Amino acid sequence: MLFKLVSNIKSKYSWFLPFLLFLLFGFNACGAAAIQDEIDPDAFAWKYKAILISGDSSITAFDNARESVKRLLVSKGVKPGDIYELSRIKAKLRGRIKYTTEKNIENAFKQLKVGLNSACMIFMSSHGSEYGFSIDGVELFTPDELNALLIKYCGTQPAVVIVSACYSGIFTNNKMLHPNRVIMTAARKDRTSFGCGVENQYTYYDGCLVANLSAYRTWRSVALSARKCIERKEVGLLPSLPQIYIGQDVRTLQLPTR
Amino acid sequence: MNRSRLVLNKTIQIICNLFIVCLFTLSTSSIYANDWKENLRGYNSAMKQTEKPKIIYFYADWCHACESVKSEIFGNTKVQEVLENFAAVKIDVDQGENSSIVRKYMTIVYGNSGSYAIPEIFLVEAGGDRIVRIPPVNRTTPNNFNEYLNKFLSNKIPFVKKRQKNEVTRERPKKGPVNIQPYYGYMQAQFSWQPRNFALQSGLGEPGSNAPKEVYGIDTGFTFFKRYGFGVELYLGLAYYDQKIGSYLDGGLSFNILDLKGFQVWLTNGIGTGPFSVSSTHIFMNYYIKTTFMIGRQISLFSKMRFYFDYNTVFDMQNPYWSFGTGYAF
Repeated sequence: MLFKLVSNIKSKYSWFLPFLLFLLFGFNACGAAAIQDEIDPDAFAWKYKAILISGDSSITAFDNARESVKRLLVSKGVKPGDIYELSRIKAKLRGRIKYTTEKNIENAFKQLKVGLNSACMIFMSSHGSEYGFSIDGVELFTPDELNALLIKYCGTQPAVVIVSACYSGIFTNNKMLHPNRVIMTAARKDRTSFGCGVENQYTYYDGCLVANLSAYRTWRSVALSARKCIERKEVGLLPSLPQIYIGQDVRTLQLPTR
Repeated sequence: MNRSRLVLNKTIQIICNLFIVCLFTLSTSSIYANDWKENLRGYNSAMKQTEKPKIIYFYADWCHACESVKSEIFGNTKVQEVLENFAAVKIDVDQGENSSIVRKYMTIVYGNSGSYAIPEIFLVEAGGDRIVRIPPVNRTTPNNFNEYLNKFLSNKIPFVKKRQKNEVTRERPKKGPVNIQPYYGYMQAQFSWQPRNFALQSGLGEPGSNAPKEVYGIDTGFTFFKRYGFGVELYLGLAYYDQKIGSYLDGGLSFNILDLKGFQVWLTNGIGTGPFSVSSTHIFMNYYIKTTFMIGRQISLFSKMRFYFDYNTVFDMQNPYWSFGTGYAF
């Protein structure tokens, strides 16, 4: 029976079967390739100064992400004193954690005291609109405002900006695209992102980010792998299309290392 | 009592004098010890010095990082020694007269967005106008700043063309939604004329168990040359996706690799595009293995295992999908 099957195949399509198998499995192998961490052995070990912002009190997912990102940064050697946190949930306001307002965000920038060997990292998680990052629906933190603070307080030092919110692609407008910046957003400027339910520990994007922060050593790899992770999560949903921008100064910028 | 007070007063006076001397030394000799020219007039005069390369430093009073560059880099005596080889100019970006210089240099790095950051430091070759920007990583310490300046002086730094656009890596997915398909699993009624040669197929698709919701498809297609063991397939369909209806085209080559009295295995590789009017251009490639059991000459049961690649995700492999169906041949 088996012999008959094989001979049937061979006699008719002996030349074509290997070709088809190549198409099927060769192509699959290409498509499934994992993201390579392009580590520059001579890369400078920047000293990170971070501002972590959760901007909404309606659910805890945004604060969960802020707290997890902080833990990951500390585990990677960032001094807790160099991390400034803002939350909109009043019960979380203890120690150095301040209430999220535009004024307090600027105050946090003022405290960064960026030196020549410093890199800035800004993580923001909340709801969003086509015009900006929502602070409990009371204030709107716009890309222009963030750009002005980055210019003033981080200057040309490397800066990693992660905005996790609906329509956060607006933070990759032309004015934001400086060569010293890595910008990662949860969605394209015309798309929503997902996972803002009460039952969610993290939003979809924050979950992917947190999972990949510990897996890779360069921001580029983290950004690409988070995007792939989102693509897997969003089957059946209108894709959020996370945006990634990597300036020429920071192409091989590494995450903090001990 | 008086004597001790006199000694105390004298000591305080000496300390104060020392403090004033220190302040004076710091403010005059340590920072900007070199002959820095300033703003438009200084820039024009420096540019006339053809025998020396130039260093042009852009700063502002409100810029926090500029303070560090001023004190830690330009305040360093070793840096000052190397800077003796340059005509040094500092440009206050807030001075209106400097706007044309600021635009000229910042466009090289930041393009035409109108947004730029400082501190920025540029080197201009002697007797020419070729420009090099000093990246932030080369001014983290006085030593690596000096190293960069020395490399420049020994012509080891490649020049960028004047007014070159900023080279940046923009990682963006192609426009248009990803991960959509006209349909996944489907139930299909099959109608055939001359069953081994030419087939007209029409089917109504419905989402499989692992398929996105709200994705339904209906298509009509032809298979040519079926009798020769392969088929050229062409389908025209309508997909209901994202609460809109769009059309799609799908086609491919199918190869019958096994045919045993009603049990057939077909390998298909195809390409499709759509749904039009729902999304921007969306191209997908798919490979599927179709196993067909003929029951009599007219009724068939088949299953498909489908591998699906989406152009918008750079042909990233999606999960394979199973679909099952029945067919009826006339």
